[in-house]
Amino acid sequence: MSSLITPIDIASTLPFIVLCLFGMVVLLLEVFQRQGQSRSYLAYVSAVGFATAAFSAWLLMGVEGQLVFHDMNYIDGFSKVTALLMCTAGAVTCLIAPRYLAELNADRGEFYALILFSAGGMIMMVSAADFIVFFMALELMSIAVYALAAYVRSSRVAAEAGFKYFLMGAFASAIMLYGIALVYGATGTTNLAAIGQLLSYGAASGSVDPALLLSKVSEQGALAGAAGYDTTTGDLLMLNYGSGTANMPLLYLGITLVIVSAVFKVGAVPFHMWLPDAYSGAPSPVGAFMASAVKAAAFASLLRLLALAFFDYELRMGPMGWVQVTFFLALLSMAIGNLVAIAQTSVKRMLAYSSIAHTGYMLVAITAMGYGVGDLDLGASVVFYLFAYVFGTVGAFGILAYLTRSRYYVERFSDLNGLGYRYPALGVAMTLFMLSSAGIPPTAGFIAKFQVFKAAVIAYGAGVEAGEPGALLLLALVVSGILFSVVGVYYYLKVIVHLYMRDPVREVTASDSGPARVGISVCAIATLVIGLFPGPLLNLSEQAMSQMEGRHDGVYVQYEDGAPIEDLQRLMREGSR
Amino acid sequence: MLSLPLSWYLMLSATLFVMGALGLLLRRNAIVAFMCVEVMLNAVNLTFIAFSKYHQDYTGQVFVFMVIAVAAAEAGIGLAMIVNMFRHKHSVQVDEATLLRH
Repeated sequence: MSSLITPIDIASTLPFIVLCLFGMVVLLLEVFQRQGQSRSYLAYVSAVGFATAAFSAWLLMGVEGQLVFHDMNYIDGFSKVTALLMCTAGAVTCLIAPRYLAELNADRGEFYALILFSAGGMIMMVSAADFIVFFMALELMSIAVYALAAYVRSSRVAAEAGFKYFLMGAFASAIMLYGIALVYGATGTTNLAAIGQLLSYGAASGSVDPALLLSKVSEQGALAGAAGYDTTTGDLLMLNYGSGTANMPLLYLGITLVIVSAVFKVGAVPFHMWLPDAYSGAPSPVGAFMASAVKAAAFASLLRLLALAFFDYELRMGPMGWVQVTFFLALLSMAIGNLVAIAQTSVKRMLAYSSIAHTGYMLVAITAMGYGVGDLDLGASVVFYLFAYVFGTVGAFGILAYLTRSRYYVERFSDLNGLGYRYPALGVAMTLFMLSSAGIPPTAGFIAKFQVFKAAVIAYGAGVEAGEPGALLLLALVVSGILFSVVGVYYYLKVIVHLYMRDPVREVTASDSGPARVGISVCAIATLVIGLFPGPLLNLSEQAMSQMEGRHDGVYVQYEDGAPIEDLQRLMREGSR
Repeated sequence: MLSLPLSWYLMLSATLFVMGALGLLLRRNAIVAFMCVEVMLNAVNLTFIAFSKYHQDYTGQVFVFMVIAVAAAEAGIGLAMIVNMFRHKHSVQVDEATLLRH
C-alpha cells in the first residue's frame, strides 16, 4: 500500500495550508493585544497571507494536473486559477476592512481570521474531487461567513442579516446534502469523476446490459459501491444506464437538489430572496466578500460539479436535463435582477440586485456550456467573468466602506451626491466600477459580457449544425441578455449622475484609510487593465477549463490499483457484443 | 436475514426531510426553525446509512460522521446568532425581523 500522505499531497494543498496557518497566526496575535489597541496591522498580516497563498498557487502552475489525497482532491489548472481569484478577493476585503471596523467600534482580530479560514474553505471546495471534501469545504466557507455577516454585534440590522443568511444557508446545505445522498444512492460512490464515468457508459457505448455493466464495474473495484445493485429486487433503484431515460428518478432528483442548492448559494432567481437582505445588512467589507469571493467559489464549484459528475448527454439535454433549469434561471435572474435594481434607493441593495443580474449572465454561459454536444471550453467565459465581476464588486463595496464613518452609514444614492468633485480619485474609481458592471468598454466588464454572449452564440451555432432541438431559444437568451444589460446601464449610470451632477444633501467625509485606498486602487487598475489588455487573463481562464482534471471528454481518471477507466469502457463494449 | 426493504428507509427519511423543510418555512420561532434544519440533516443521515447498507459500502457512513460534525458547528453558530438577535429585540420570532424590508 502506498504511503498515507505523499509530498505532492502537501504541496498541492499549499494555498489552503498557508491560509489556515495565517488564520491561526492572526488569532494568536489577537491574544497578545490590549483592549483599545489598533488591530489594523492584522489587515496587512492577512493580506500578506493571501499574497503568499496566491504565490504558492502560482508556483504550482508547473505541476501536472492530478488527483491527490487518495482521490479526494484535484490539483489542476482550474483549482489553481480559482485559488488566485479567491486570494485576490480576500486580500482586497482585508484591506478595505480595518478603518471601517474601527469606525464601528468592532476592530477585532477574529474578523481577519474568519476571512482567511473562509477563503481556505473556498480553495478546498473548488479543488474537491469527492462530495465529502466538497461538503466539508463548503461548510468551512459558509460557517465563517455566517459569523462575519453578524460580526458587528452592536448593529441590529447586521444581527438580522446574519440570522437570515444563516437560516437560508443552512437550508441550502441540507438540500445539497439530500441531493448528494440520493446521487450516492443511485451510483454507489461519492467521487465526482466516478459518478460522471458511471453515468456516461450508457451514452458512450450504446445500449449495455446493466447487470453486465455493473459486474464489470465491480470487478474493477474502483466503483465497488455499485456492486450492491440487484436487478431482481426492482424497487426504487431502477438504474438502467443503458437507455438512461426515465427510470433514474433518484438520480434526477438528486442532481436537481444539488443544482438548486448551488444556485441558492449564487443567488439566482427564484432562490434569491435572502440575498439583498444579507448583502445590504452585513457590514460593507463583509458584503464585498460575500458578493465576490463566496459567489465566485459557489460558481466555480458548480462548474466543476457539472463538468465532472453530471455532464452526460441525457443528464444535460434529456427531458429533465439541467440545461433547461439553468436556461430559465438565467432568464429570470437577468430579468428580475435588472428590473428590481432600478427601483432601489440604497446603493448596497442596488449592488445586491445587480449581482443577481450578474448571476444571470454567468448562467447564460453555463447553459451554453451544457447545450447540445456540450463544450466545456465555453466554461472559460464564466471564469473570466468571475475575475471581472470580483474586481468591480469588491471595489464598489470598498468605496462604500471607505465613505462610512461611525454612525454615518453611506447607503443611499443621495449620500454620493457631489462626491466626484470632492474626491476626484474616488469618483473615477467608482465610475470605472459602474462602467465595468454595466459592461461598457474599455473596462473588464465589457470583455466579460462579450465572452459570455459569444459562448452562447457558439453553442447556438454548434446546436444548429447538430440539429439539436431548441437552438433558437439559446439565441433568444442572448438577445434578452443584451436587452437586460441595456436596462442595467440605467441604474449604474444613476450612481455616476449622483457622483457628478447632483448637489450634496449632507456632508460626507471619507474615512481616509490608507489600506482601503490601496485596495480600491488595485481593483480600479485591474478593471481598466483587464479591459484594455484582456489577453493574458483570457488565456488563464481558458487554461483553467482545458486543464480541468477528470473532465468528461477525454481525460480519464487513473485509479490506483487498476487500469484507466477508459479500458473499462472498452471492456464493456466488447462484453456486450 | 429478514430485514426491511430499502424503500421503507427512504420513505421515512424523505418524510422527515419534507417535514423539516416545511417546518423551516412555516414556523415563526427562530429556535424551532433551527431545529427543523437539524431534522433535515438527520433525515439525510438516515438516507446515507440506508444506502450505505444497501451498497455494502462504507463511504455513506463516513459521510454521516462528517455531517454530524458539521451539524454541531452549525448549531454553535446558529444558537449564538439567535442569542445575538434576542439581545437586540427581546424576541426570537422570525416575523419580527423586518428591519431589512424596504
